[in-house]
Amino acid sequence: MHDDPETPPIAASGPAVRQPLSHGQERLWYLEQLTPGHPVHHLSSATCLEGPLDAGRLALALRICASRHDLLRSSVADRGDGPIRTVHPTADLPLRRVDLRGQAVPDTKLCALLADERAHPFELSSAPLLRATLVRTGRERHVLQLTAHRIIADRASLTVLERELARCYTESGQQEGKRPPAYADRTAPHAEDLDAAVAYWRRKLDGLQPLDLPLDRPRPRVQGHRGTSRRLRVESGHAERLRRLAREEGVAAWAGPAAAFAVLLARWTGRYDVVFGCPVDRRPPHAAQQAFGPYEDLLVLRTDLMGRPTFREVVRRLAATRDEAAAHAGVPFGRLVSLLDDERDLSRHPLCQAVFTTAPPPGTGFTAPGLTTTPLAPEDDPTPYDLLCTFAEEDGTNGAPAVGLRLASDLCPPESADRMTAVLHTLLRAVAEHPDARIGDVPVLPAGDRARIDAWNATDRPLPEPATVDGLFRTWATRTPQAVALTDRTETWTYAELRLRAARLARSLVAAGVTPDSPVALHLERSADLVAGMLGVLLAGGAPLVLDPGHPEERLRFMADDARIAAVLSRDAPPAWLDGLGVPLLRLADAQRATGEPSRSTGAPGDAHGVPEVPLPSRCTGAPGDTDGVPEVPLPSRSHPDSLAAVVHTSGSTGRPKAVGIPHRAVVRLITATDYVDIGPDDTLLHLGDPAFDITAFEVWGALCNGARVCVLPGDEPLGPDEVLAALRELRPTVVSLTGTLFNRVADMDPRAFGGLRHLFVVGEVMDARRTRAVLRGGAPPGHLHNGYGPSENATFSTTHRVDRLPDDATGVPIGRALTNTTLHVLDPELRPVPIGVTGELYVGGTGVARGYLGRPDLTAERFLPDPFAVRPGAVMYRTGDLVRWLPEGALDFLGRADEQVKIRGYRIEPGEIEAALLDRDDVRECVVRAVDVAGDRRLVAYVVPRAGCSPAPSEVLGGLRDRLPSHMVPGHLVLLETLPTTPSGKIDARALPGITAQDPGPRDTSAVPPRTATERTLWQIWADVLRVRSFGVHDSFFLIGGHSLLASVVRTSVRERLGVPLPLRTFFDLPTIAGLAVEIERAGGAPAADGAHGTPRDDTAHELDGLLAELERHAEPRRAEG
Amino acid sequence: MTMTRTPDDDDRLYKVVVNHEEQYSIWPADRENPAGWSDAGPSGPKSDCLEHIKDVWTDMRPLSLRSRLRPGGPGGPAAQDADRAG
Repeated sequence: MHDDPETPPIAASGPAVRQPLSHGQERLWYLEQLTPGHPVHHLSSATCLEGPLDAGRLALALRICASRHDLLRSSVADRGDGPIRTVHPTADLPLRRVDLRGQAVPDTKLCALLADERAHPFELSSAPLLRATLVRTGRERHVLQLTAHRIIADRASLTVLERELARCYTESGQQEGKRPPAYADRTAPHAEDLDAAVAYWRRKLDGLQPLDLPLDRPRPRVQGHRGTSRRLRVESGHAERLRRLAREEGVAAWAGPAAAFAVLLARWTGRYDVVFGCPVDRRPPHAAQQAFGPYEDLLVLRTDLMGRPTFREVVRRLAATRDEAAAHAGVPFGRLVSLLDDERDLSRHPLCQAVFTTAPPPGTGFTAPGLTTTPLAPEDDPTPYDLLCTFAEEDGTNGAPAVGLRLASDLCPPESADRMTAVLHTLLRAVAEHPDARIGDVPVLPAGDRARIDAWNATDRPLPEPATVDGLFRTWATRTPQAVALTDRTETWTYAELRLRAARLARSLVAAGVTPDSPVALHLERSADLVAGMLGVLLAGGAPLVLDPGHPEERLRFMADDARIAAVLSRDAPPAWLDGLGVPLLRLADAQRATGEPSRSTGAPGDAHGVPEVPLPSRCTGAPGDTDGVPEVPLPSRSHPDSLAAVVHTSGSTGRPKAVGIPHRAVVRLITATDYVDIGPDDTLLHLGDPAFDITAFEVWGALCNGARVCVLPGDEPLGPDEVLAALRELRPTVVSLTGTLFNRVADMDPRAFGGLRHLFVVGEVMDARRTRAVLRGGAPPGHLHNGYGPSENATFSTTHRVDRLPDDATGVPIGRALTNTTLHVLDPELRPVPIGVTGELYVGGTGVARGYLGRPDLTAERFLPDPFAVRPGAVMYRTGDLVRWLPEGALDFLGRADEQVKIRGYRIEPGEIEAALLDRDDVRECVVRAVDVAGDRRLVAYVVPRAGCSPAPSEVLGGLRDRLPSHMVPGHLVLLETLPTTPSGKIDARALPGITAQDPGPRDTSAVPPRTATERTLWQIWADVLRVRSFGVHDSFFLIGGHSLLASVVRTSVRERLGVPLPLRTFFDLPTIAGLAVEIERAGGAPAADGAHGTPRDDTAHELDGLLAELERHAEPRRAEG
Repeated sequence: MTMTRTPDDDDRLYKVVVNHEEQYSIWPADRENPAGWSDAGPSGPKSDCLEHIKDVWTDMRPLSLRSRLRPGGPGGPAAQDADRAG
C-alpha cells in the first residue's frame, strides 16, 4: 500500500480559517470523544471499475476536488474553548493504492481490506477526514472506495464527490469554473423564530419515551451498532396501492410506507405514541448537485396513533406530523439533542431509536468513458439505531420495491429480525388491501406464528372420572385404604382413617346446614387437622376457605364476611369474633366425633387406635375390602366438577381482597392426568405453604388425589430455610414446592439440598437465575426443577417450565408452557394475538379458569372475558394483568405486571434485571429493587441483604452496577438490611420495606457541600468557570446544574490541563459529581492527595449513603418499638 | 412521570354479553361475539356495562350447576351422578 507520490497538494488561496461547528458537527465531535474511532461515525461508498484506469489522473482529480471543497481540507480540534473547525489552505487528499493482483483469494482479501479501510479511525485534528482507496484486483480491474467521517460528509456528499471526481478525471484535471457553496449551517433563523421553534419541540417531545422493543438480550450499557439486516420484496401491486392511497390523501408517496412502519412500531411495542426519525437533506436547493458536507439531518416524527384510527388516517396523521416538523426544522437534530436529551444515556440513540428512510435510486458511483463501473452494494454499515427501516422504490438488484429492516444485533438475535420482517410483510399486504381497516384490527400475526401458537395451545385432554377432588380421594381410599395418606410428624392416617374422619366432619357440617357449593371457613393453622377439615368440607359439598390464625384478625373477618361462609370449623377454643359471624360454629373435636363418640384427644399418637366405639383400622391389619368395618353408610357425593373446591383470597388493586371461587375441575386439571408432573402412590408431598393460598391445592390434593402421602409441617408461621432443610432430610419427600424467596434461602444454605426430590417447583415469585444455576450445577439437583407460574384465578399453575440447564448469561428463567387443559393467549389491547416475541398481556383459558370472584359480578366480568380462541363455545378466559411474550420454542417469558411497570424518566425498568445483577455478586445474599416516590420524584432503591460476614460498601455496589447496566437502571439509593420482610406466604413484602422519606437528602437534594480537598477545589473551580454558576456542591450532578454533554468535554479538557489527568469522557457520565470525579482523578494519580487524608481515598458517595442509612435506621426505630 | 397512554385508557365501547351458563362478561361493542356468547344488555363505556352486570348477575353459579342443585336438593340423587357431567 502506498500513497500516490506523483501529484503534489494543490494550494488553495488564503491562510487557514477557523469556523465554528454546526450543531450536527458538534454532536458528532462529541460522539467521537465518547467512542473514539468508532466506525459508526464513518460512511463509505465503493465502485468497481473495469477497463483501463489512469490512477495518476484519478489522484490528481482527487486533489482538485479537495481544493474545491473546504470540508475536505478541514480538521476539528478543541484548544480549550470548545471544538473549532480549521480549514487549511492546502488540499492534501492522497489516493491510497493497493495491488491485490496475484492474491490467492482476492475476494476475501478485498472484502477484508475494504472493511479495514472503512473502519480505520480518523484523527479529527488532522485533515483530510476522507480517505480514498484504490484497490487493483486485476489487470484492468479496480475498486475505488471513499470513506469519510460523518463530521464532514453525508451519504449524498459521497455521490457529489464521485460525480465531481469523474468529471475532473474525464476532463484531464481541468478545474471547474464555478465553486460549490462552502458548507455552513444553513439554518440560522431569527432569534424569535428560533425560540418559537424550540418551544414547539419542547412541547412536541414532552414526555417522550424511548422505543420499547421487546429485547431478547439485555441492552448493553453502551450501544454496539452492529445490525442484522433483512430484505423484503414488496409486491408491486401493493406498492402501487400505497402510492395511490397517498395520492388520494394528497400527501407525499413517502407517507404510505412510513405509515406502515409506524403501525409496525405501534403493534410491535404495544405503544401508540409512535416516534421515529426521518433523515432529511438540508442542501441549499440551488446547489443540491454540488454541495459537499454533512447536510443530512434527522427530523423527529412523533405521531399519536391513539383513538383506533384507520390506516388511511395514519397516513394522513403522519404526513401532517412531517409537515409540522418541517415547519419547525430551524432547530437541527444536534441542537434538539443538546436541548432535550443530552445523550447521557449511552445505551441508545437520543430522542428516536427507530428511523425510517427512503433509499435514493441506485447511483452509478464513479464513472468515466472507457470504464464499466458498478457501484458495490453498500455494506451493512454500523448504525446507531435500534431499528432502521429503508424503503426503496427500486431495489438495486431487481428494480422492484423493497423494504429493508435492520435490527441492532446486540438486542435481538437474527430470528427476531426474521419475525419482524414476516410481521411487516403481513402488515404491508393488509394495509395495502384494506386501507380503511382500523390499525388495531390489521392482522400482524404471521400465519406461521398462528399455527405454532395453536399447536402449543392444543392441550385439551379429558379429565379423569370422577372430576372432583373428593371423588378422586374416595377412589384412592377404596383402592388403597391402608396406604398412608397424611402425616404430621407425630401422627399418621391411612386413606381409610382419613376418609372416616373426614366423613364424620362432613356429616356434622351437613347437619349444621352446609349445602353444596357453599364456602365453609376453617379457622386452623397449617396442620393435619386442617387437611382433614378441608376434606370434610369437600365431602359435605362445601368449599374450604382457610382462615389462618396467623393472619390479622381484621383481614380474616373481612374474608369470612366477603365469601358469605355457611359455617366455621375451628379448634376447641375459638376466638370470640368467630361467634359473632352469625353462622354455625363447629368445634373440630365435636364435629369429627361419630354420634356418641367421645372426643378424640389430639396430639397423642397412642390414642389413635384406642377409640372404643369406632375401632379405627390399623394399617398393619391389611384387611381387604373397603370400609374396614366402619359403621357409617357412605356419604353420597355432594360435589360436582363445576362446584367450588376452594375459596382463596387474592389482593385486589383497590386493596380489598377478592374471593376467588376455584371449582373442582380446575384443581383436578392441576394435579391429575397432566403432562408436567406425574404424582403416584410412591410419592410424598410436603405441605409447607400458606394454607390460605392456592398452592395448598397442589400440595394437599396433589397427594390425596393421586394415592400419595402428604406430609404436613404444622405451624402458623412461614417456615424458615433451616426448617425446610431439616424436613427435606428427615421426611424424604419427593415433590415439593417453594416460594422463590424460600428456594433462594435454602439454595444458599445448601445447593444440594434438593437432590432427593423428584420434582421441585419454585412458585409465586420470579425464579432467581443465580440460585437456579447453583442448584443445577451443585452436583445434586432435583430430578426435575420447575418454574411454576399462575394466578389463583387459574388454580395455582397456568404454566410450568422445566429447567434442565441455564446459560451463564441468562438473567431470568422462562415461566414455560401451558399445563394440560390450559390455553395461553398473549394479546394486545385490542385482544388480538401478538406475534411471537412481542410483548403482550397474558390471558389464560381452559378447564383451570376459576368461576370468578364470589359476590363480585362486576369485577368478575371485567377480568373473566369471553374466550374467542376456545374450541368450546361460551368458554371464559382470565386476564392476568401480566406482561409476557412467547419465546420461539413455545415457552413464555415473564416481563412483569402490566399495571405495575416501573418507569423512571420514561424508561421501562425491569427491577428483576437489576436484582439479577446484584445477586451475581458474591457478597449479596438477597435483594429487591423498587421504585419509590420521594417528594414526587421517582427513584430506584435497592434493598440488599449482604451474605453473612460480608459488608459491601453501597457506593462500591452501585459503582459495580454502573459497569453492567445502563445509567437509568442504576439505583440512586442502596439500603442494607439484615433480612427482607416477607408476607405470610413467604413472598417478599414490598410494603414492609423501609421507605425513603422526603426528608431524605437524595443525591439531587444534597445541600451544597463545599469542596474539601485540593482536587475537589480545582474541580469546583473548573465547573464554576464552565457552568457560570457557583451554587453547587461536591455531590451535585453536573447534568442537573446546567451541564450538558458538550460542556462535559470542555470540563474534560480543563481537567487534563489543570490536573494533568486525561479521563475518558465516559467517566463524566458515570461519575457526574465532583466528589466522584475527585476520587477517580486521585486514583489515576495525577492530582494532589486529599487534604489530610491518607490511605485509601475517601469515598464520599459511601459517606452519603452511610448518612442515608443512619437516617433510615432512625426512621426504623419507632417502627420496631411499635412492633 | 408521564404515564404511557395505551388504547386501554380510551373511550372504547363495550357490550354486555352472556353465555349458556348465564355467566356475564363484556366484549368490545364493535366486534362480533365469540362463539357461545350473546348480547345481554346495553353497550357503552366499560363502567356502565359493569354496573349493569352488577345489577343483573345476582346468582353467579353456572346455570347447569344451579339447576343440578335445585331439584333433588343437596346430596340428592341428582348430585349422585354429578361426576359424569362436565
